[in-house]
Amino acid sequence: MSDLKLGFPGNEKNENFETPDNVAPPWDATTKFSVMGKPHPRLEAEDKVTGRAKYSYDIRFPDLIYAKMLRSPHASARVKSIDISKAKALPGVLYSEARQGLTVRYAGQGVAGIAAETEEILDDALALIEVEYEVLPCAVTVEDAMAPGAPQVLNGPNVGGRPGRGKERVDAVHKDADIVVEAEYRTQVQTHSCFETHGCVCKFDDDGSLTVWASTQSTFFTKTAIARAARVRPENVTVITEHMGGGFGSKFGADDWDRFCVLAARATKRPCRYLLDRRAEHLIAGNRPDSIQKCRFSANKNGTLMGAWVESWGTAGVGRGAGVQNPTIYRFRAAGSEQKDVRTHAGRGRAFRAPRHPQGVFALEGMIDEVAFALGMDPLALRQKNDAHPVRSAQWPVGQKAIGWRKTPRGNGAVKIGYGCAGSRWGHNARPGDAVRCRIGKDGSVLFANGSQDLGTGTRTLIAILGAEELGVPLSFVDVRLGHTTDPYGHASGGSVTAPSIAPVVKQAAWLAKRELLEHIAKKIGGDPKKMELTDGDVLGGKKKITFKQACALLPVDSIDVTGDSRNVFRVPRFSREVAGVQFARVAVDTETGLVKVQKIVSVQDCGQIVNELTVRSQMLGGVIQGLSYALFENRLLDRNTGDMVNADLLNYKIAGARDMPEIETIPFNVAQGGTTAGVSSLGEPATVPTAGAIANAVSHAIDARVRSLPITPDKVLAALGAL
Amino acid sequence: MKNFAYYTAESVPAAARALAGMKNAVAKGGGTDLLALLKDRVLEPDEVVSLKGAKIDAKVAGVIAATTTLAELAADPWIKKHAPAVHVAADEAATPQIRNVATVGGNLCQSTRCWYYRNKNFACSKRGDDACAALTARSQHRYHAVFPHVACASAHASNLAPALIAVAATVHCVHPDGDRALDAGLLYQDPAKGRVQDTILRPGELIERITVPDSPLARRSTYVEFRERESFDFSAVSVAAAVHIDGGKVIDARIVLGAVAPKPLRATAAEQALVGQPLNAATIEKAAAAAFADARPLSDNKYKVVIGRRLVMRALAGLKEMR
Ligand SMILES: Cc1cc2nc3c(=O)[nH]c(=O)nc-3n(C[C@H](O)[C@H](O)[C@H](O)COP(=O)(O)OP(=O)(O)OC[C@H]3O[C@@H](n4cnc5c(N)ncnc54)[C@H](O)[C@@H]3O)c2cc1C
Ligand code: SF4
Repeated sequence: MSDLKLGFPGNEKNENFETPDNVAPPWDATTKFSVMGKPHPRLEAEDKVTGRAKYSYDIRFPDLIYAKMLRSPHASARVKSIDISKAKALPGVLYSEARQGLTVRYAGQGVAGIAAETEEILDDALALIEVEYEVLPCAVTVEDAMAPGAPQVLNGPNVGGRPGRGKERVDAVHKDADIVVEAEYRTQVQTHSCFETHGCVCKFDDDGSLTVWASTQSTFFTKTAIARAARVRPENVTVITEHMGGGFGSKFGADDWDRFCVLAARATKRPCRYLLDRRAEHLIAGNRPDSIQKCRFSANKNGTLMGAWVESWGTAGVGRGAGVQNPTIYRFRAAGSEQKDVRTHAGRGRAFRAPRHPQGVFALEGMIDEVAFALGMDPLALRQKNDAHPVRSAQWPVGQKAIGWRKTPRGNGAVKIGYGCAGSRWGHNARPGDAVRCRIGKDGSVLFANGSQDLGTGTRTLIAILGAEELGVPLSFVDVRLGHTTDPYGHASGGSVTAPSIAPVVKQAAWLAKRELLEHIAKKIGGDPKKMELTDGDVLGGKKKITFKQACALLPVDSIDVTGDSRNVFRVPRFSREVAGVQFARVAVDTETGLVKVQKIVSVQDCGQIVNELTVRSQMLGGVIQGLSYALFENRLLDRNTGDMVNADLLNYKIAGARDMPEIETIPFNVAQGGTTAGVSSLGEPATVPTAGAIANAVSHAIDARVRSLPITPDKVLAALGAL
Repeated sequence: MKNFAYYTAESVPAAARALAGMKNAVAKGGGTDLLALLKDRVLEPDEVVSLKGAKIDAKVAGVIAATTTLAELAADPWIKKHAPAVHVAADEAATPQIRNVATVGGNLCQSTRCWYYRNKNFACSKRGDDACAALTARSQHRYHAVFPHVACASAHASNLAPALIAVAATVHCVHPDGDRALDAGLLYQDPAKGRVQDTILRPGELIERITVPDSPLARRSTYVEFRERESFDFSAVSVAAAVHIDGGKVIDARIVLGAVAPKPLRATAAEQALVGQPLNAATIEKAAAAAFADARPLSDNKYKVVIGRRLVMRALAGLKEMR
């Protein structure tokens, strides 16, 4: 029986744990790391900044052809006829498809497709397609889709969702409470706006096997989906994603356009490329659903939160999946919600970095502030009083100090400075199922391989660090191959599962390879392999000390090749049930123009066992930046007459730029989490959850009036101030 | 984009001569606006004549060649001293990358950012359609005009135009049928159905240069703008203002509003509220109110009026402090 020490300085606890024979011993709070936890630049950093790194976007062949679809300008229509003959007659047009009779349910839906020798011919060909539409009424907002007589978007009613439970209990608690606060909050639709748009390059070989370079968060889902679309056996399909330019939850498989691309490649026997243009990317490649949240919260005078009830409406376009994480985080006597999911004539929502959370937390944390003001209490104190999480409880004072928290706003003249905060929760989303191959060559080379992708979060480097740490060699000895489905299975990168799930498996693969190496070496140099160790590139505990490279040269075989999997590495006690985080904001608001300038954000985030300090901080920075952009700028604007998007570009769809950046202070909380032998936690999504809530609270603090709608644009600030 | 023939002109007058012999041609400065319009097939010319190769004569103080880039203009010390409004307008426009290629002529002749104009899925009377997609209750028009014209609610996008008008610059145009010089304020006209261009330039007529006078009015000028986002954004409202104060009284004033109407708008009522008066808090407030007294904002853009008034006050307060 051995002890496992979990937690963080100031809050540690011991758990009994016995490591099974065939499992790498878990890391805990007492582990002395030599590679882990330090700031390491990404392995591919130089390739990326010099342009050597090849994204799917960059894959070219001499005989490459290009595909693209003609998209409906109407959100609701019936295609009466499509005349594609002029396009087909254009020299260089190689393949086409016309979706006669199609019912269009959102603007941007593909109506016809062309593949051609060049992008210029393609563009001309698309302009020659003649489509006759019967335009039908559309409803692109929740209100329009719920109005009496609203057009039905799909079969079945527009309004779906689950009925709420426990309202009676919340109502009863409200009755007993000293104060009740009611308000309505709203959030907008945000599009993923991946830097690299969706799509792929498909190439068939003479033997009928298919290679697909896809910009995807799941090479393996894409493989199955493309195989089905192309009617090829999955084992004859290889998906490659060496590098990708962002997905944020919108790239989990093969889409309509990928299918068109592979069919064009098959029909023409030419490699074919289809990566969406920016307009299509906004219209049809995913978005974060909007929300209307009617909240009723209550509390007692002593600052005890009592009841919370939320009724919400939102739209994921023609899809489902609108909903909010609200109420949550804090301890209420009774809490619940009823969430309606409303279909509209708009592009389908998709998972978006912490689905449901940022929008829910914006409203929740606004309500907590409103309750605090109604009670005359410091909003931070109210949170601390009602927060039971062991990690978040330790984070609040850290953030408070870093931002210089003030109960009263500052500023004289037109510009007022306010402070706000918000919290987050997330799951420790470690999922079994990954496998990792580790190969140690006689030449001293070390390779870790997994078939999943690096979403851009730094997975490649993470694997190298974990492998080097467990093997006991310097990081520079280790190579990683990612993104080839010919390698062992890896999960889709969603739910922030990647790092926590793959970490113990990398560790396991490295440990197995190390044991095998030491057994070989023990025979050569003498010693008990069980007592021998590899540390900092040296083999210790044998009859004589040799280096790792010397040890490899002594191997009686060409290489050691083992595969670690997820069996047994997940049965480790865990420190806390949820991933915790808090953020604080300081903003300056020009009360004459309504302009909000975020001055500083402090992000304090539970990172579990930190693998790479640099990529941990960059996830936190990215989370704040995307959250700030959501709070102040981003907004999909649809014309309510036709349902087309008016700002489907990167000029009018406003994303925060360099000059909009505040000072961002990242304070990673290293917590020996356990849960797996590696103790690594989810980070990518929780890091963006509280930002909008913290900024909104700071704005309201500054101007002493509440803005309950995102994005917080100057007009809304002026309206809240009564100046419009 | 549709295929076109591409020519490079040696000078602006040579380009004007070349354009005269073509039926469906456009001139190209830096191409930062034109390229987007071509890609979206809003414009489908058969010929494009580039002015980028045009040689600029030796620099003369106060003379701005049309092919000068915004970055060069922003770095011009004479302009900075004698027409601060123009300096700031050039310096604040767009992004460093765009300022490095965008030309002064192109900036003055750029198209509106109206997203209905730029998306051929929508009806636009400027493009010749019977209706204007922006002018309905259910349209998205938060950045559109607050002084709309009956036919068009587009907002004029140029930073430079209000500034050049405020300092009473002169625009020199070339055309094979005869050159002309006009006050920058007279360069623009009200919108009309089927006319994509906002200027009064005849087909093939080009701006060759702009002259900025060395005047007390131009020296006491300023430009302020408001945009939602610091990086990469157009202004939602801009104000260029200039005053000539003598003996404690304003004897001449120009106040020009940008991004609030289909063309840059001289706020003549505001100017008149100042002339003959000292420049003080009371007259400034009066002028600001007068500037927007006739505004008719759409349902989404009332905020532009509130902010516009503030900008007029800030601009004039800045001029008060200036020597
Ligand atoms: C992201 C972004 C942000 C921007 N922000 C701002 C901003 O804040 N403020 C602002 O003012 N602008 C802004 N702009 C617009 C930019 O300033 C203009 O696109 C640019 O000034 C146009 O100059 P150009 O030389 O590239 O013109 P082009 O694109 O080459 O031409 C534009 C038009 O002018 C005509 N033209 C060009 N030269 C002449 C001439 N000598 N005589 C007659 N006609 C001519 C062309 O035929 C064409 O119709 C922004 C643009 C972008 C893309
Ligand atoms: S506002 Fe003007 S430019 Fe915009 S759609 Fe209407 S007519 Fe066209």
